[in-house]
Amino acid sequence: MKCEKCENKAIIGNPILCSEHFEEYILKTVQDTITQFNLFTKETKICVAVSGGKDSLALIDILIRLGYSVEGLFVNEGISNYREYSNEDLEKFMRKNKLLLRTTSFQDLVGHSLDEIMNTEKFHACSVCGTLRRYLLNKFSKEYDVIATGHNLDDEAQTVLINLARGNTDLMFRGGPKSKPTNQFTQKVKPLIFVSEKQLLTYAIIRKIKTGFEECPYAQTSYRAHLRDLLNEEESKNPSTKLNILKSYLNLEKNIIKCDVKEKELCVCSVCGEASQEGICKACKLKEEIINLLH
Amino acid sequence: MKIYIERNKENKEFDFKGSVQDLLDTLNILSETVLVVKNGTIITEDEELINDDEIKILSVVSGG
Ligand SMILES: [Zn+2]
Ligand SMILES: [Zn+2]
Repeated sequence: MKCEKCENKAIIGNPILCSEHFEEYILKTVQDTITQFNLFTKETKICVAVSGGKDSLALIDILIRLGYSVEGLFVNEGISNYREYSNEDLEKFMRKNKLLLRTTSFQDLVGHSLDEIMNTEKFHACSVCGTLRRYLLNKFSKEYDVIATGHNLDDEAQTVLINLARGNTDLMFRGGPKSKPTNQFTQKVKPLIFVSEKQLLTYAIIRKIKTGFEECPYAQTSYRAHLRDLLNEEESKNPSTKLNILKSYLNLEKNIIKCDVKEKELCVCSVCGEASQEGICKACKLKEEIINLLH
Repeated sequence: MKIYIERNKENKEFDFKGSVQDLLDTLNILSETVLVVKNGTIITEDEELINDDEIKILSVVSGG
């Protein structure tokens, strides 16, 4: 297959582009998302949430190339053998790009790694991970204007379906490219939501960002993994399925339901002082449970 | 043909001639979940393969 824009050979079929034009396409897609949804400007202090995957490093790479100023916040969950790059590679990448990388971990917060927490067999990995991660990201991002995460089109389409299938109408309209600004929580933005996971991997390989492969060992058991497989099957037969799901969501959010969604009142956690929906925040409750079980 | 399947960390070797899509169908792999690399270059599903090619099938799925 030949590139739609030049005589070179295409490296990807959706859209049909050579590597040079594909890079250009990715940069434009992300810039268009930032502009269309007014995510941030060149003056914004951006904190990129760095995880074990290629997505967050690709995000940093893209944002730097587009001329934004970013720093990294690395949340180490403590999952052994789960890194798509080694810690040395991560540090090298940040040093090469002259970027500050701050590090925090589940170990620092609750005294145990996710592996240790899961060994108790009392918790659901994705829910523990989500609660502690959200908490740490918020806690350590106060001096920034926004937290940018590497969520891609696949993640977003899965989330829409999960909320629909579970009847989570409260959570339903917390998706999309940016969270509502509040005083207590740093605003979250997702510049990659129009880039599919396959496109992101392609970009990461062209840019030599991806160095290895490990799938999160806890992902297999999740409902999200089930929907991921279902969506991939559908997308292989009907390209644009994922994009259509995201676009439907964004249209719904814009046109119908937004005005009816009530935000819960926020107060301050009596244990840690962070913003919370109840007297004691979810992270502190979870921390107590974990400590009780593991001591 | 020598094939490395990243997701299973598995090496395979068998006679094959046909397109990348045919190969993925044979292996029962969805195209949306992988990138196929031939001799170090990413290739599209319509590319024709010969038995001497060395193929890597990289997994798209990750976690963040
Ligand atoms: Zn081209
Ligand atoms: Zn708390």
